[in-house]
Amino acid sequence: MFNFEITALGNMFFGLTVLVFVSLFFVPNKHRSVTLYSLLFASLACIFYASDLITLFIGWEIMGWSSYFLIAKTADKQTLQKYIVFNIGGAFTLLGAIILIYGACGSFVYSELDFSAVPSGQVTAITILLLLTLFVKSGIMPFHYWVVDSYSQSNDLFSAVLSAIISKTGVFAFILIFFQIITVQYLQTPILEVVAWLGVLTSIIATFKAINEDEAKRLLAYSSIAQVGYIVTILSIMGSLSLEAALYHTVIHTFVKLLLFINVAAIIYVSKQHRFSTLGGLLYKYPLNFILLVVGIISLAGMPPLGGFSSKFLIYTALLEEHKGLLLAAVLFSSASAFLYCYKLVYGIYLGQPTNPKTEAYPRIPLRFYVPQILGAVILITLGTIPGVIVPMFNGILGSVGFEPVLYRGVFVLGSDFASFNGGVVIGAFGLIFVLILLFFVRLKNRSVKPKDRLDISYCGEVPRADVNLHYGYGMGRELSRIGLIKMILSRSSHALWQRVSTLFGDLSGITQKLYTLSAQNMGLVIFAFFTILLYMGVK
Amino acid sequence: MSLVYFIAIPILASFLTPFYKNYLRFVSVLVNILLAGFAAFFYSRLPLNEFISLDSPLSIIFILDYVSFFFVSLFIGVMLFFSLYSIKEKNNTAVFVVTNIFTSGALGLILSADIFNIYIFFEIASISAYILTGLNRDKVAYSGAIKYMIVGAVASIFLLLGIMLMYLNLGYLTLSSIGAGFHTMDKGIQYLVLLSLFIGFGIKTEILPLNFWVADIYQATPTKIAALFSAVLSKAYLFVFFHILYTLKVDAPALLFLTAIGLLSFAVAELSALRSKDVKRIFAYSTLGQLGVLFLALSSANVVVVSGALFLILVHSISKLMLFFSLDLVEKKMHSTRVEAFAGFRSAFLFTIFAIGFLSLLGIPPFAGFIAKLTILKGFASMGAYGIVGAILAISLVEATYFFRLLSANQRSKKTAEIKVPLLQKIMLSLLALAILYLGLFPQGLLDFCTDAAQTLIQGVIHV
Repeated sequence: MFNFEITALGNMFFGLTVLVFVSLFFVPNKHRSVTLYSLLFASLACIFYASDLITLFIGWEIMGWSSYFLIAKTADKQTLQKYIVFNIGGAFTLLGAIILIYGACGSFVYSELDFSAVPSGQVTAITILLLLTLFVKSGIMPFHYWVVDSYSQSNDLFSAVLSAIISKTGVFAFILIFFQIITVQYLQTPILEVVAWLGVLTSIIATFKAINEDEAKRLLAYSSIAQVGYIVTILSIMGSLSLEAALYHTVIHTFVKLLLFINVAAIIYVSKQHRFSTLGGLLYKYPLNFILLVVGIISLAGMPPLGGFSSKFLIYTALLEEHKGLLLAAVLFSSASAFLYCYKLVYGIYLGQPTNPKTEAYPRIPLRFYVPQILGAVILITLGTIPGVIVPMFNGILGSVGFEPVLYRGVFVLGSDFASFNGGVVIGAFGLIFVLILLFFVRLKNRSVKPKDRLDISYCGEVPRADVNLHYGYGMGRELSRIGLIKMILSRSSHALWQRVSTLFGDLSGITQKLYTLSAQNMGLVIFAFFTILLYMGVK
Repeated sequence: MSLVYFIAIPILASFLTPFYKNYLRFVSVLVNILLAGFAAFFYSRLPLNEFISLDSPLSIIFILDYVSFFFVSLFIGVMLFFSLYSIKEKNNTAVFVVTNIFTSGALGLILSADIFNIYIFFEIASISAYILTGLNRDKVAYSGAIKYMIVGAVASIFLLLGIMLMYLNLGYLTLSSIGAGFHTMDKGIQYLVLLSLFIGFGIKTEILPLNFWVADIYQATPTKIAALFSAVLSKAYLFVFFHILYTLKVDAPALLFLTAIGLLSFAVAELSALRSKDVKRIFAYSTLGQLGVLFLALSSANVVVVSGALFLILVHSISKLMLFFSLDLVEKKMHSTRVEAFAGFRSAFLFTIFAIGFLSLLGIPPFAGFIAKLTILKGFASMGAYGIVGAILAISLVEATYFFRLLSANQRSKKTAEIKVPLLQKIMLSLLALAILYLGLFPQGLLDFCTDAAQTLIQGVIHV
């Protein structure tokens, strides 16, 4: 029990955890439970630094139930039910896999596991069980059913933890198990193919669900599913470059989601509104929050010049290098569609006419909300400018799991022999263009007319009433469902399937419960009948 | 020093009640402390055989080996806990009179190594259990007690049938001689004996399909007494059944049948709890489920699995004590054990206790239930029985659903009543919770002892 080992991989994930937890410590929250957060933190440390499977499992389970109690304060019954069924189920498949590994290799310690003598059928069974666990935690479809509700209904601070850190434990375990323990030669290629496509399909579907979403936190939850989908896809290629790309994207996504969830949390804190249709026009009220959000979504969309581009660049080149053209096309498609929901975040919250006439009365955002956001923004900008600066860390991890590092050790330059770019040049060029455009708009500004109030738009032809929703972000994304394929994606949901499973078990339970109300006479009859049957079977 | 004291002292304490009627609760505590002292005294002298009379068929043999010591100390611990916990209940003399008899019945069952005495203690324990069920003195309690008595009588008939058949065919009653001679008997008689033993003990160890009476009985029984049924009584029958079975050296197909029955029992019980609306019933179903697991693990004839099962017996007893006793506090305040009532209480302390109990029963680390489950699963994996591993894990998921549903119901609903837990109860319940946490973090010492005990159990009573 409880064997630990300090590894480069563990250091990276633990480092991310520490940064996220410390910065979130500043955020005001009325459901702050020190015990549960410390337990969660300890369990994460246990997962990242474990040196045997039992320690890993203990951490995994403690993470599961301490998160449960954190979510339970605000979430509704059904969400909690889903959370438990999926997460405990995921943990039990992990336990099943661990038991199988023990049966096959006779040990729990990472370094003593040797799969060379294990029949390939058993390795496949272990692989599938482990994948189920990771899919549940990272929300890969069709096991994402619990994710969105749990992320959106838990309190704002914990949503950030769930998305930034807990979804990453799936990624961590993937790297640990499939790169280090069951190495690639024992894995079946078809399984990896399936994993790759599941990841990318997840990201496409989640992206469209996000576009169609009206609630800010649910949008971010779908976006989180989509981003982790990329990471899983790129990991399943099992190469050096792809591993570095996955690690890079993990770092980027952690800070992006930290920034965005807290950004939205700040807005919810001051406005008490969760939906885009009731927000809007907050740009002049909260300019700093707006700028931070823009930093976040530029990174989320993977546009140059910020950090998101660096990781997306690596993902694309890794796919190209392995000649995975179809996968690349799918990732690009999903990535491009992601612009739409990114835009929705800006648009729905900050631009347009305010839906609520009382925006003026909203209080200031407490400064403490800016701590995690500024941390995230600084890191994202830094990784955009000098993208090579964390490459040594990744190279160290690759070395420790036995892969040859391929990324250059440059500061401004990021890339391998296959392809590279200079972050300094990119950000310089973009900065120049940005300044030019800014100057242009500053000149224009003097000539523009300012409306007196939100209803002062009568030059459009008609004078709106006060109760009309003037926000043009309202219902945005609806038009997408006219496209056949996207409509199909949006209308499909695993809800019905899981609902049916739940009803089935409920009905079964009703039937068996009846048995337990037998009267004494009937009980006697059952006993004698059972005796007779067994006697008959024995005589035969 | 004689092993008879384990049985004589508690029963004597009950019979002498008229002399200290108002102080019986203190006497009960003293009796249990005394018994604990005996157990500690015998610990260094294990294993131990004691012959009281050698002339067959009236020979009386008591055996205290590793496995019976495990059960004896567990039961004494539970009864000591019970008597200390209820030390403030002045007007409840009847409970203490019966629980003392109950103690000696259970201890007698464990210690006896001859089949006639097993029958006697089987009856003593059962009859005291019927009385305990009726203690609430209302309609539900009486109907429950009568139902229990009828079903229990059927069980006794079958047990007696089995004993008669063995005595008629072999001419002796001691377990060791029966074990040596069992396979000389006619195959058909062997089957009939095993079948009647299985039915007799199957009813008492509450396994499918002989357990349809259990949930009603638990509901009729006072909540704290239900804890004793779950923690002591069913475990005593379970031990005796497998003790006899391993002594008779039954063949593999029979054990396999028991494994299947255990698994089925686990599945059906957990499924029933899923939509149950009464917390006490849910706990009863959970007990049935755990007994199913124990049945399936004990019938594996594998040292690792059986040692895990013994560990689970201890952990399950502690957890169920905790849960039923806490539920008793809730029931006193809310006057109901319905889920709605359970959802309405406010007490951070009780909530934590319930949470720890549930997590431990589910086998979730870092609590002791996890170690038990892990050991059992490890053992099955080393036997190559991966199907059973999968089944146990899948059914546990059902279990997780309803336990967490209870927790979230309490965490989310509007609270109607604040429960102030008295200091004594608080200390006692915290001790149990700490024990679960301690055994979860440092299980090695107990696991080693369980391994010794498991070896003794699987070996059976050897002819001396």
